[in-house]
Amino acid sequence: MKLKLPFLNTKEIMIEKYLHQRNIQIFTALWFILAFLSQISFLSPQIFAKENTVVIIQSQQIAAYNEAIKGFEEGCKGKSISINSIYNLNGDTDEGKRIIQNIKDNEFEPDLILAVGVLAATLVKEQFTDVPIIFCMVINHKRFNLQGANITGISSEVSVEDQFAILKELLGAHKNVGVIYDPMKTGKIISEADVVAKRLEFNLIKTKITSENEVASALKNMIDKIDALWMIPDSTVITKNSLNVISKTILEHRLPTFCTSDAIVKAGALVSVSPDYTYTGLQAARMAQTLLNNPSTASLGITQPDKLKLTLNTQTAEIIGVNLASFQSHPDVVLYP
Amino acid sequence: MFSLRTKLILCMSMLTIFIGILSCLFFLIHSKSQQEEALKKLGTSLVMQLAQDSEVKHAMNYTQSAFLDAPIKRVQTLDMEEEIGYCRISNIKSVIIEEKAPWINVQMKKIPTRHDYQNPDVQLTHRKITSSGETFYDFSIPVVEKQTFSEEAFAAQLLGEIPVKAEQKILGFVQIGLSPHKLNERIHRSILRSIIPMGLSIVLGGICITFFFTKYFVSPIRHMASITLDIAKGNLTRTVDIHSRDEIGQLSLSFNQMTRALRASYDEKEKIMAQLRENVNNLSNANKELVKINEQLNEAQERLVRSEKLAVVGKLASGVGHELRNPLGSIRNALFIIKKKTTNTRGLNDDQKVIQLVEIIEKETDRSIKIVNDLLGFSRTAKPAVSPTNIRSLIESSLSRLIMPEKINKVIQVEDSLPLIPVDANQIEQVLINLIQNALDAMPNGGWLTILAQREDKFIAITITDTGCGIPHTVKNKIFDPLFTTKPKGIGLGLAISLNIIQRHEGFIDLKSKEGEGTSFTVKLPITKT
Repeated sequence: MKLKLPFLNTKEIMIEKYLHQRNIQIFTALWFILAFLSQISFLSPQIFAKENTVVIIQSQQIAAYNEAIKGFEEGCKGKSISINSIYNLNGDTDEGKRIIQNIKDNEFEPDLILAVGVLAATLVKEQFTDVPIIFCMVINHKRFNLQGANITGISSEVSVEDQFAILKELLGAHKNVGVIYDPMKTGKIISEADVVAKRLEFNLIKTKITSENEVASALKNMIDKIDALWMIPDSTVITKNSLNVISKTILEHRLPTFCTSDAIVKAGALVSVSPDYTYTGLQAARMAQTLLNNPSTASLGITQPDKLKLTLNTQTAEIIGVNLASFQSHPDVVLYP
Repeated sequence: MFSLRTKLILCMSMLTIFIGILSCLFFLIHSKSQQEEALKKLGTSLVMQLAQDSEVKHAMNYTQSAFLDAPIKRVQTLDMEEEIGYCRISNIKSVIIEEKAPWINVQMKKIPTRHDYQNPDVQLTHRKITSSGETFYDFSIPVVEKQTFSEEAFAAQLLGEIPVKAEQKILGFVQIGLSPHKLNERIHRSILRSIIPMGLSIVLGGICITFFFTKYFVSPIRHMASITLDIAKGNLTRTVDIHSRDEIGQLSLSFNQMTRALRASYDEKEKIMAQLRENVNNLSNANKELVKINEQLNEAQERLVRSEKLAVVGKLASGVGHELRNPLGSIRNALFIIKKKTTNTRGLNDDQKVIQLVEIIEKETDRSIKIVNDLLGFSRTAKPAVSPTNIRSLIESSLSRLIMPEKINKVIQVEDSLPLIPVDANQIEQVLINLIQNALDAMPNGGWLTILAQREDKFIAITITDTGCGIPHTVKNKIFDPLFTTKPKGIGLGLAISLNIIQRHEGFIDLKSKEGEGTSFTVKLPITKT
């Protein structure tokens, strides 16, 4: 039966081949055999126990999540992993809870769950404790305590070290780098950054804030003391309103700004280092395969994204006067606009 | 017209009433606005509760009124005072449900429905709707599609998607109308239970406080007024015992100072008055003495005048008498001879008439001689030739020389053992005859003649009293003057001569007379010759 598994999985492709290559009799005979076999498989599901089913739960419908899911689907192809269904939580907590409750109430239990986005990850972690879970696309995942025996994850942030390495390549060492943060949300990143900055010979100038309203004044106070602004994924600092103020200020002061979001680069920041979302999906698919092939392993821990992309704003570079020539030849560079 | 206290009470009461009314108005407005605010809060919370209910969202999505029963009931349970007048839930297509309380008369058609579904920024609105005479506080809020989890919105922002929130679509509107009837009831209740009692207590309390305050305020003034009255009556010992540090205290201090000053000046005045009284007494005494001296002076002057008069009269009488006595004596002698001759030749009827005429001449000549003798006697009153004389015998001899009319009753009382007194018996007898004759003359119709002789200290007093016509008060002073008489045939020398004689004896004559009752002359003669 093990030998027939790939055959059964690709039955539609096989049917097409046979329609073209063999005569109708043989096809008919085979059809009967197939029908018989599928009937058997229906009657005795334990025969197909090795077929791993995965449920994908995404927080909401955004391009980045869809890219990751697409990558995952791509990665699963030919790996005896079937994607049972994709659920969309529409970004709503209540609806998300209801949907996950429905999944749980079904008799069908998936072999693995892929949670895309923070809402999906947190809700799935709450509801499923014995099914292996892989999460991805969770921004600043350390805040949400996404750790557990059955939880595997891919961080959506590039490590602080990588970010500073690129900055050093771009601006050189011995620079004053300013950062605004809410200690409640991104305090851990900053304490890690302190160590890294020292090692890479940067002087980190930090300003603590507790509300969105303080961003403008914090930036104004530090703007003359810094050579570059580092924007970390802090929801207190980066909001729709503050982003406008920040982009306006950094362009006025010709201040190079680096971050982990290409959306902010589009808004005026100079450079961002972020994971390649499709590749994140592929990475998740690889991890899923590993987990499914080793049922004794429930978690692979949280890993860094394998592939990064660099997004540069050429307009901003021109205004500031930074030469991007060395980066343009880089394979994973996206230039904007 | 009104007392100070009444005025104060009236003023303060008016003020208190004014304050009471103002406070009532303030609390009424405050309570009304508070109640309205509470109603607004209730309306907002009810409408938001309904709008956030997921079943309502489902009902709006599928235009299913059946889903709305449960959420509406839930909201109704929250509306404990039954203030919801109406409730309307509508979506883009139509009104899903409309409910109104049975006691609402307004038709739901007349209550405006929200239609601004296209405006994504539409917020909760509350307004006052008046329809068919009924007023409602209308609350309406749009029901939007479910909100995105905030971290997901942030993720969407960072990962390059416009947040879902911006695309929120309005599903419909939830509209609730709260009727203010309970609010009005509550306001009425608060007016009855708290505002009116509060106003009354402010007014009554204020008036009571005013009453006691004015009593406290006015009583010292009244006290001072009563003390002022006492002081006005002359009781300067009273003082005001108010020891407050306010104006009244100062006033009482000044008042006491004034009282002390008054008392001092009053005492001084009393001293001066006493001195004045003494001076007046002295003056009046001096005056009395002066009057006395004046009287004495007048008496002396009268005496002087009288003695001068007497001297003149005496001189005149002496001259005239002396000149007349001799011719009169010759006439009498001649008459005596004529008479003798005519009597000797009796029987002649013609001579009878001559005899009568001669008698008349004789009689008148005797009378003239007597007058002349009297005048001479007056002028020549000789120094008395005194010898111890018995008064009793003197009185008796005087009476014997007088013709006593029948109608006169005489009483003679002479004290026994009267001493002999040194007098000129003839002169004193003349005096007594004069006085007794005067008494008899005063009683032509009869009466009582009383002669009393008694010892008085160092004198012997002889009182001759009649019950005649009395001497008029106006002439009392003149009767001792010479030539003054009230008798038709007197010449007015008798009393003058008598007084002269008695004065020469160093005695004096007293006169007591009352008109119509009688007269009493008292002759006082010293017992011993000085």
